[in-house]
Amino acid sequence: MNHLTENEMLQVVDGSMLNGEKTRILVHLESCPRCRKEVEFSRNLERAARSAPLSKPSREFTARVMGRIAPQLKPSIGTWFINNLANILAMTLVLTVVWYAVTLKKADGPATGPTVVSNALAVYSEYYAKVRELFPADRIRAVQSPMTDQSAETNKIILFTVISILILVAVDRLVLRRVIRLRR
Amino acid sequence: MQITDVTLIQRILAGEKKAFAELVDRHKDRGMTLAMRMLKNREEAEEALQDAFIRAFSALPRFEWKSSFSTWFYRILYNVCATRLSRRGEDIHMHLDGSEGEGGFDVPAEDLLPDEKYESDEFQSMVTREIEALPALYGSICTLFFMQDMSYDQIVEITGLPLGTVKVRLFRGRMLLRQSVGRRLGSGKLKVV
Ligand SMILES: [Zn+2]
Repeated sequence: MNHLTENEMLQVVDGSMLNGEKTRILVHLESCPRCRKEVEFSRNLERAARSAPLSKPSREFTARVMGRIAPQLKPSIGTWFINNLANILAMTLVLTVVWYAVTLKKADGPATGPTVVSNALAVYSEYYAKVRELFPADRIRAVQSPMTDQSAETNKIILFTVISILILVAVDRLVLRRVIRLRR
Repeated sequence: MQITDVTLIQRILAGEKKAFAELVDRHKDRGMTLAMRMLKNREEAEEALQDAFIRAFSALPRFEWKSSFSTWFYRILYNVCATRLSRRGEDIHMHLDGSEGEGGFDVPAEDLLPDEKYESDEFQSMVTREIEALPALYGSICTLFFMQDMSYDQIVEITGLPLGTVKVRLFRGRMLLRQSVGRRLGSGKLKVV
């Protein structure tokens, strides 16, 4: 009596016996306790293989993966610096203007009414806010509107400040950002 | 109702990066099992798994919606592990020819167990140990077959091996497992009472 081959036994386990062979295999199994036992062994073995416990990575695994991914999500300090370069330069400029106005006032002696410093500061902050908000469509209106009772010298400082800021904002928006995008 | 992998992927692609953590949590244990059965080293398996998840994250915009995330991810993981194996000088991609074997059984009938013994924890852990000890060549394919209940077609998609090779390896893997467990039974590690 020929026992089942390994291949036939797996076909029985998988339920994938070929139609032509099926009857012969089943008839043999019916009459052969040894092959029945082998098939039973294989069935149980494979059931155990399917329910084998899974290996687990360490507990902080997910956090570590997310940590490795995070640098791809956050912009670097360098990128932040370049993105805000116009703001940084504008603040430097303001401080220079203020310093210039203060030293100018000291040389001229005490002044009455609104000082050069307070005028410059008030006008500058108003302009800067408007320029950042309205640029580039309303650039001209922003330069013209609040200019009323200023001395000729203060006007010069303001105009210089505004033009500098406009140039910086334009450089920031049109040149630096494009360069950064290209470098990525 | 659990959110599907597809929904999670859509969220990640829409910018919700945290959804990726959920995807990692869902697939890390099965992924670790496959990596362990290929690399046989915990530390290296975890590194490979991490590497595979990071690659999957970067490649997510190119995710092929026609296959499931698990099939797509296991392909990445399988390749990461196969590369590590080939660096060690073990080539898992080599093609085997030869027949599926038509010989008799290696397990003597007297070593086989009465049915109730198969339910024991001892038998379960013996089988687990033996499946973990299978060579990577067979262990990888048997793991995909047993753990994931994958079809031949899915295993072909993951491993990139020809169908014939997958069939031969799966057959040999199952036979090796049968023989090694049979030998353990014969050596009296799990006595019939
Ligand atoms: Zn028989």
